[in-house]
Amino acid sequence: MKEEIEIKNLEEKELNELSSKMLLSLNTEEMKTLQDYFKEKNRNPSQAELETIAQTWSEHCKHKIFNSAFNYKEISLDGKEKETKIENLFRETIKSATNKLMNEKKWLVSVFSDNAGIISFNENFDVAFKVETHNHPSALDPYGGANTGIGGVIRDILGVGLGAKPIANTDVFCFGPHELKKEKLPKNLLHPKRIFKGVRAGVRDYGNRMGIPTINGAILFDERYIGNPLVYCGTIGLIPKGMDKKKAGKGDKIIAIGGRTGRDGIHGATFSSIELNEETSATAVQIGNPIEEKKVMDVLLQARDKKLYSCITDCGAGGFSSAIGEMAEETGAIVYLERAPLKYKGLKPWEIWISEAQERMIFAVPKENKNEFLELCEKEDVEAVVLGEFTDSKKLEVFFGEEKIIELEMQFLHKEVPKRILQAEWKEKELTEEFEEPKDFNETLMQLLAMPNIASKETTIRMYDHEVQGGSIIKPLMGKENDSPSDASIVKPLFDSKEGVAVSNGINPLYGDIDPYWMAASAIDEAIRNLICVGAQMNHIALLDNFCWGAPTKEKLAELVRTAISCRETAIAFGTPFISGKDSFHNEFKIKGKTISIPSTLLISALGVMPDASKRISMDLKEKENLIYLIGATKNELGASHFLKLQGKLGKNVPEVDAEEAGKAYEKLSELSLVGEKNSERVIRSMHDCSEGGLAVAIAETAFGGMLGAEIDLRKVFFEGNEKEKTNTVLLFSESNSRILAEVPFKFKDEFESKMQGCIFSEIGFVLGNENLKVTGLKGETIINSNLKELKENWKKTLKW
Amino acid sequence: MHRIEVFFADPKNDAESFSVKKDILSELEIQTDSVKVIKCYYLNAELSLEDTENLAKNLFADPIVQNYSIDSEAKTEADWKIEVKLNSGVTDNEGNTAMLGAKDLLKRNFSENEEIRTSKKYFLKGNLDEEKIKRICKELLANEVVESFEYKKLSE
Amino acid sequence: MKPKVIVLRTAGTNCEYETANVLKYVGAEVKIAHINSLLRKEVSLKDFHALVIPGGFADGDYIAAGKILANRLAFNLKEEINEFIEEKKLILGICNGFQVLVKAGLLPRIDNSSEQTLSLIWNNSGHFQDQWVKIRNIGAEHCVWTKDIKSIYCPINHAEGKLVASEQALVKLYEKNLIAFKYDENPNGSVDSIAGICDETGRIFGLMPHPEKNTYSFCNPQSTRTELPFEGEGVQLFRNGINYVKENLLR
Repeated sequence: MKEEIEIKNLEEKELNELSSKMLLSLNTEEMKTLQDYFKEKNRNPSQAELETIAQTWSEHCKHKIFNSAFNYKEISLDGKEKETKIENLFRETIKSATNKLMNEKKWLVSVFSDNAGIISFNENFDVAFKVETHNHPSALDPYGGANTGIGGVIRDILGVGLGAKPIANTDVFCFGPHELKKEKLPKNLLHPKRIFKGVRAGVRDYGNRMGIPTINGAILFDERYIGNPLVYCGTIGLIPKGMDKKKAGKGDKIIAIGGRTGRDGIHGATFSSIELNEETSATAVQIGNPIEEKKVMDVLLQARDKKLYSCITDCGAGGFSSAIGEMAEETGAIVYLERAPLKYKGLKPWEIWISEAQERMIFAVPKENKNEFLELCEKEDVEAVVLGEFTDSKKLEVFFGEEKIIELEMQFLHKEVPKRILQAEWKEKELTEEFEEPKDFNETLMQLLAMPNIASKETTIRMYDHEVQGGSIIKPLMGKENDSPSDASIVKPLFDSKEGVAVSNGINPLYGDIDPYWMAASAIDEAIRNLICVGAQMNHIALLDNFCWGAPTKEKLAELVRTAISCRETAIAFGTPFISGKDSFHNEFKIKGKTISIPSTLLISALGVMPDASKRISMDLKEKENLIYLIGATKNELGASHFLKLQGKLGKNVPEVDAEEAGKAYEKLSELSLVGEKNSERVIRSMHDCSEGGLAVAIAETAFGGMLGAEIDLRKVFFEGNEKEKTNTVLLFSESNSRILAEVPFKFKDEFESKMQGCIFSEIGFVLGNENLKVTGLKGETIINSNLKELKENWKKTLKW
Repeated sequence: MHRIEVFFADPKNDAESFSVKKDILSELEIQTDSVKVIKCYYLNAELSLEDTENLAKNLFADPIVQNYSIDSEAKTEADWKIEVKLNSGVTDNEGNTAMLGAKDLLKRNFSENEEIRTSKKYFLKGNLDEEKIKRICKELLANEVVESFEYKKLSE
Repeated sequence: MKPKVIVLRTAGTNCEYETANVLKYVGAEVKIAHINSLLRKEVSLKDFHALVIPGGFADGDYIAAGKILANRLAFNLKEEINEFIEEKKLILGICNGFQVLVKAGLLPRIDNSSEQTLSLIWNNSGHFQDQWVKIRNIGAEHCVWTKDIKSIYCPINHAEGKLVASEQALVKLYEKNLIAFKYDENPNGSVDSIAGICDETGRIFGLMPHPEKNTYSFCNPQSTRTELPFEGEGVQLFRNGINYVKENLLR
């Protein structure tokens, strides 16, 4: 055993220096734990051993922050303090919500273990979903970073259970303002527009080539993302029932297939735990080869159905080290690293071991299937190599030629890393709300529609293939001119069965500027109501959480705690369990001593299984004279609204969520969505939710869809709160949650209203035969009278590149 | 070691050159008279001139809309020339696919050391100076994390 | 006996399943085969009545879309393909498949020449486009695949769909009446808005849009606005091919 790094006799200070120098990202306690292990073994570690431990214990792989204990303190405006002790944040919030719902939601199959969350789809298949972020590399090389971000999450799905077939991709992007003036761009940073274009192309070129339709997403802009774009990539896959479990057996061969190994992404796993600065290393970026991954997928699906392997996972962060380390956790493994095919000469053994070269998967193949497996790879032009085998030694042993470079006990490697106790402190914010009333509501609507967060994303959306695999039922853009934004998308993955999968998302970091608790509740409500709008069923919805945060200061950790607690409470109240999640910290950029941190950004992705995909509902107004209902209550909640953003203000009253009331309405809408076969028999012809820009933008978008006008009377809108606060501005632009516009033919008025009894709703207008959007204010005056064509043109202009 | 350069005969068909010219104007606010993009294949392999011709004609250049030159630069009226290459060690998907096509066409195998690497040459004409060219390279055409660039003034 | 169709795939092919699905729907027995199995003679074209090359990004579209696969057909499978054509069998290329047929000289095959006379190059926009289009049948009455079809509403999903032709080639296309479909609204800059062409026999046909994506009307984005029949507009094209085989090639 080669002893390469002195550690046994180091002092605490020296341990920390070592961690820093070698980019291990391990804290003092972790270094000490490491030191104790080797002291006991009476030897020093090899470089490969240190790298392996660092990678396995990295934030990226172990989610240490989320599994920490917290001392959470709340300080209210009047100075009162409340302290709560949390033993394990993840277990007591996200996980606990799912645990609570487990008995009721019998369609849960596999949650928070393995590469992705799995729920039941139909009697023969389950569906898996995973969303990940790939932020830091995308800041350095937008195209390559995004490329490998989507490639990585696709591989997660390929490697979940015994392998799932990807059926859809999602992507959510957060960028700096695309019109940022050059002078305001810090040195050495790429311009946000350049990052946008690079990321857009990177995700597109990979996803399109893999033949996976990209069906849902969002694009947000904020100055605080300038140095740190966020790239959330998600993939949904289909897996035969019963294949969610996997286990490598003693004697099974370790076979690596796919791309070769290079120096790509060395320290990617540990790199994502460090904040970027002007000197950040460039080897952390990888370049993708989607055709290689497609070929790997072709092999995988055939080998899976032939039952040629017992276990599988993908090489992601930490490469061979993490993949084999994970698969061998219960057994042990012996690896002959010199067998790994290399992209070029000159790699050190430890580099080969932790390289994050893309498009590689590891299989545990029982001896008797080895030849058939290798033949299959050869037929598909996929390089495959037997790297070693699984043992029952409970040890990880890695050789490079004659030399042993790693010998570690699995128990040590996968042990619970020393838990930390983190301090979190939330100070209630003192906020005011003052703004100017619109002088011309037509003008305000125009301005809102042109805002980057609200403007049409058509040019970008149409760069992605929505149709491949032939199962596209509700596309990202629908309506008479195929250009209006769907709330969610639906795919029907099997030709011989009716079921469909609906996907949506909820994200609004602006709400977090007031209170992350309500940001989380709103994101969950948004994702759910988006699904309801296309006809998904309330009782079969699962959620994913993705946290992108700045550095873990006590303020940001408090935001984390509030968000997590809200996730728990809201998920339980709605009956929508979490099945998977991820987190990314240190999304900050330091320049000349100043720190630009992203706003704490929670993305909620939602997946709904529809028993009959043909019951889909699209968001475009269908026929003149149909009635327009607004389900849900409008409140004085202009806080963090886009209306106030137009005036550069934050405001105070952030939208809250009344999950009980909302849940009731969503259930009834679910039931109504199932009624009727032909279009003419459907009680609800279209649905569209209110979100950014409030009711005004929602009614414009649904009108854009049908190129049919609408006449709305604000006097009929159900308002909840102090009557004095009920103004045209509030009714039009408040972003209160849980509100859905529903279009109902007059002949179904009674049926609709009697079904919705007990819920809050109001008939607020009807569909016109012309192309005018008309809104009557509280005094009976016409406050909006705009032409749809003009509004639409303005809405499409901002991001038409 | 031969190299093959491929380019469009008619600008009408050259969507990429048109895009680059447009982007230089819209992203960098730099006006150019013309931009011509040329794709280069560096054949780091044992290949005769005859084989190279075969590859150029039957693999790399589209017979309907493209022309090619071997071991030389086609004549263009330009003031500046930029070449952008992927750094060595960075995966060159086009180059790797080119090897595949070459194997098929020439009906032979290549050794582990042999490879085809690609690059793009940009010929620009207009009122440009070194500072503008540098910006075009750094802010648009090349990502220095994975690529490197070279430029040269052509006109006197 | 059912008509036997081989759906060809290679590294990067994406649309083989939905293409095979619609072929099965109209009564064919379908085998999805990798080009390697043809090159290694494990599978023979002799055993099939129709060859369909589906959409995708064969070999990543690197160098040029469909070029690698086209060369394999033109140089490494030349005899098998010629025999296939002489036996009056059918060939259909969709999107990537159309690119392959054109670059292999299998379309338009004027005067039996396998020289490449057309090409499909980058869309004017310079990027991939996904949108539903209407293509109209404007001629090529001898084309087996497009019989009695007035128009098809289906999506395009491509980056290199712009049809270009030499002057002479374009003249010949009109002269021999080989243009089957034109776009109502030209999405990519194709010469004369041409979307699909056939050869002089009418048995070899290629188009850029994807009719197989409109096999079921519920995939049609307009189906929530208008009542449409269960079967989508894209099916008839495939049905025509299979009917031709039933009437002419089954022994």
